[in-house]
Order: sequence, then structure tokens, then C-alpha cells
Amino acid sequence: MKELVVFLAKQLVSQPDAVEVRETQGETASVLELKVAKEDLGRVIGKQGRTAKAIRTILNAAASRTNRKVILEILEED
Amino acid sequence: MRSVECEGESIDEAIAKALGTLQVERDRVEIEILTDATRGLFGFRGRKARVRATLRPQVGAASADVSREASDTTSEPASTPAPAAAARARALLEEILGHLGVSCAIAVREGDEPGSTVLAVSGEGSGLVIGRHGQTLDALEYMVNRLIGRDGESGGGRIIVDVESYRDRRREALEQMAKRLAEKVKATGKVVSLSPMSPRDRRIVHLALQEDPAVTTRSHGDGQYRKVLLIPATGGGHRPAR
Repeated sequence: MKELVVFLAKQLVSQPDAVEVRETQGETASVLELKVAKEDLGRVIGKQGRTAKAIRTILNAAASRTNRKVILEILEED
Repeated sequence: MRSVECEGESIDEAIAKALGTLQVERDRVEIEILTDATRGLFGFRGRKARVRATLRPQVGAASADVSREASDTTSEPASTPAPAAAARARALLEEILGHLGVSCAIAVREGDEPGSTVLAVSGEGSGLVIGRHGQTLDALEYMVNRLIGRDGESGGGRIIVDVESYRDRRREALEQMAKRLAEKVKATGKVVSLSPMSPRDRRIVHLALQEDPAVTTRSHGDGQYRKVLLIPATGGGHRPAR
């Protein structure tokens, strides 16, 4: 799950080395916090959040095999 | 020449998958081993075995299926409009599907629209790849297009991602529904509003009723709530404001 976000994010951004994903396991859900370089924020969110939405949809498909929910947060601050 | 690439935990498993996808016996295909499986550190980051299976030409047995599939460009990327982009799109899709835990074969062929390329996915877990109303499929398609667009090398047109002919089946279902509802509109003279749909689906509905003089179609609403209205062309009490 985490690897999927890392892969997609690294493909999208101009600075792949700045991509960080932190996974927090809750009881029924996992939260993935994605951090990218400031100027790449728009690239992972996309026009009207389309890219972010696509990442979440693909993540949900990946999570549907498990019984857990996956929440993707895109962090803004440094 | 038709060929598929498959992955497995071992070379044997990958070959078995390839044979299953092509629906042929082992002696009908040429197997090329692309990578052997590696275990990697602690079982993580291991690499799967990859093989390419190419159908041997069979004398005097070109069934309709085989000749249709002969346009698969997996082994001859030169015939696609933008081979580099298509190959990259295929590799990206393969990687994403690998993360989803589905093992699929991806065939590349030219799309109906000029310049478009279809990545046809087949194999187990196709329901997962399609998602509700094809939303996962659409997300994958958007993602792949987005990712190859970045390179500026996609001189060809769009990449279309399809699973088990889902796109065709969806189009047929939408066309039937559109025609059925058009009859209802003609019978009642009232406007019928369809449920919100993606631009692709709305386009199918508009095109399906384009030739029908008794019904006009119009899209209404914003963003993901945008939907198609079927409007009776001749005044039947409810004439909507234009």
C-alpha cells in the first residue's frame, strides 16, 4: 500500500528524492501521509484534485482485498 | 505475432500463466525468459520471474480470434503510433497492477480513434481493476495518461485502459438504456434525467441519440454531478427553456 503511493508519487513529481510516505496503522484504517517538495504539491494533487482523487481510488482498490480502509493525506507544510 | 508477458513467483508459474492467458498448450508457444525470480532481502523487494510467450505461427489455422488478435503490438511496437509512450504506459500500468496484487497480462493494440492506444488487461482480479461503474479503471487510465504526458514523448494520442472488454460492454449497456429512456420520453413527452456520469459515458449517450429526431440531449450540472437530460424535441406540454 505504502509502496504504491511512493511509486505513484515518485513518478509524478520533479523531485523524487523529496517524496516521503509515513504509514500509521489504526484499528480499522491505515493513514498514509504523503509529503513532497513544495513545488511538487500541485503535481500530486492535480487540477481540481483529479490526481489526488485517482491515487485514492487506486489505493481503495488495493485496500479492498484487506478489510482495512486506507486514508491518504497529502501534507502541505514543511 | 501474438505474444504476452507474464509474471510469477517462479519461471514455471509465469509460463503457466502465459499459457492460461493465451489458451494454448506449451508446444504452441516460444518462451523467452526476461528475468528470473530473486528472493530479495527478507522476502521483500524480491523480483518476480518474467517470461514472454509468443504464439508460434500455425499453418492453415487462422481462426477469427487469432487474426483479430494479430494486431496486438506487444512484439511489434513499431506499428503503434507512439511506441515509446505505449511501451512506457504499459510498464507503468503493469507496475501499478502489481501493487494491487492482481496478476494480469496486458496486450497493446491500436484504438478505434486515430492515434489512441488500448492497453487491454486480462486475467484474474479484473473486477477489482474495474471498480464500481469503472471508476478504478478510469483512475488507472487517468494516471497512466498523466504519467506519460509528463515526459512529453506521447506524440500519439490517448492511452485507453480496458479490462475484459469492459469499455465495449459498458457502451452497449449505456446505448440500450439511452434508447429505452428515449422511448419513454417520446411516450410521455416529459424530460428524463439520467444519473450523473463521467464525460466518457455522457458522450456515449449523446452519440446514441444523435440520430433520433424526436429526442434531444443536453448535459446539465457541474463536475461529478453533471448528467444528461433527454428532452422531447416537439412540444409535449413540458417544453424546457432553452
